[in-house]
Amino acid sequence: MPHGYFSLARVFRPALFVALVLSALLLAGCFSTRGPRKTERSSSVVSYLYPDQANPLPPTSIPVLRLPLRVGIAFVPGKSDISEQQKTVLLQRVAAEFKGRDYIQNIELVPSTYLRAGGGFANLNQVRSLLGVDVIALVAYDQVQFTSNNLLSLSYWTIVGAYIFSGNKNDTQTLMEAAVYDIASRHLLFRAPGASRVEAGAAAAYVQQRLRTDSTAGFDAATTELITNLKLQLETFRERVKNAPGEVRIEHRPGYTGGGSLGMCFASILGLLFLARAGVRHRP
Amino acid sequence: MKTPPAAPARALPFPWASVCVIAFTLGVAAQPALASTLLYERLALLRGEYWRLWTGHFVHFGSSHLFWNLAIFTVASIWSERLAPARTRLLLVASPGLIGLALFGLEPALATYGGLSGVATSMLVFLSYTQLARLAAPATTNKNEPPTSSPTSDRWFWRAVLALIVLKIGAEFALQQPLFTRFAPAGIRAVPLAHLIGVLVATVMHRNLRGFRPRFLPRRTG
Repeated sequence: MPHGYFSLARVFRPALFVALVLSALLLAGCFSTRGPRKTERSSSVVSYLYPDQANPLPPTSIPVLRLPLRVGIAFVPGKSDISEQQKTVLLQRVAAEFKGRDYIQNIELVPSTYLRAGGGFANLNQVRSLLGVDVIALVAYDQVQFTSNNLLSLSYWTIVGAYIFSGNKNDTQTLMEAAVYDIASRHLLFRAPGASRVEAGAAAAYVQQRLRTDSTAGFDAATTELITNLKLQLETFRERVKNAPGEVRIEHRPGYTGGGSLGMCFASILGLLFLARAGVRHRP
Repeated sequence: MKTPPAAPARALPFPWASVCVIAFTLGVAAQPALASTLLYERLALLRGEYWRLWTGHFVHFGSSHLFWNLAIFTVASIWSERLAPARTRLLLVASPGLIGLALFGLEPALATYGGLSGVATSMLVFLSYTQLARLAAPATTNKNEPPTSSPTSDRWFWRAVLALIVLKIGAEFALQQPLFTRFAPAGIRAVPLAHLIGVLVATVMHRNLRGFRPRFLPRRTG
């Protein structure tokens, strides 16, 4: 019996070795030792507004802005979308920056379900009727994520190394753009971009998790820049409206609130006049 | 030879009407809950709350709005009431209502209105007219209104005040930049029509009611 036992072990030892090597190879393959990979998520204002038009015609009518404005803000539908919750958080950040301005009545966050891919101005007119917005800020994005291996990825062969060593390098590049349109006249009023780049390392086992975190961080950083640029573009637009009133017509919505005000400037001029009068009277 | 003693200078009348209006305006500012009842609101007016035509002027949309309006009103109204008490008091009663009525008729898009500037403009214009009239005929004193010390030639000053008001209203109508008008609370814009009506009311009052004195008030003697 003992003799037989030993002969059995002799038969299985090479097979066990081959099985171990194969499983190690297969596991290591799971931890991505392939070349650089690329993930892309994007949406485009042009594809949404002019889906089948190679050369869209420019709008002919002058935009009429009725103050105070009712503004909508929405993400343009895109491929490989980001989550609705993430979109809402980003839009809320943009909206919060522009609330409380005297020429904005309200800012409406338009849910993605209200916009369909390639919907164009017909879709925007539906949103206008449904939510009562006159101007819409369409937010488009383009995010590309690259993952490549570095020297530490050799440790993945040990299996344990795939959990410990950051053998993957992630690079997340995000570009966001807000284009503000007057829906009725189809005029682009102004636009503002925002960009960010996030680089991070990750162990093979956590690459996907890290990519998701980087994606969120990329959108956050790009939104911050977008808000700064939006404020700047809004100021430029204000100046443009003042200097070239023919470009955009400003009207007031019926039912505005008015105030009778004389103001500090008028009171100051009156005060100066009064001082001048006192000076003249007391002159010998 | 003894010279006859000079007649004692008559004390200028106390501007109680102006003081009442100022107190009322400050009272409304101190009790914001009153604003909803007193503010000019077109829908409420259409429901029959006509007092709002008059009271809307005493509601303000912020401390700065209140301060500058009241500063000009206080000076103009008290000065004016001391010079021409009867007509000033009549103007204080009539101008808020007439301005409110004009806004209701001529500015249908105006949903809500507040601020004393229309009345203050009216008082300032009336004061300027009164002063100019006194300077034009210093010898003839209105027996219904107390004589005051004859001022030196301030005609240029009062003309400048009138010109400034006209320029301001003209600029408000012509160069209106409603998009970015800076007004304390959001969404409120200036209404130059209220100022224009204020000027018209003061002009009519000055031109047509010179020497006005209500019958129930005793006539001054001496």
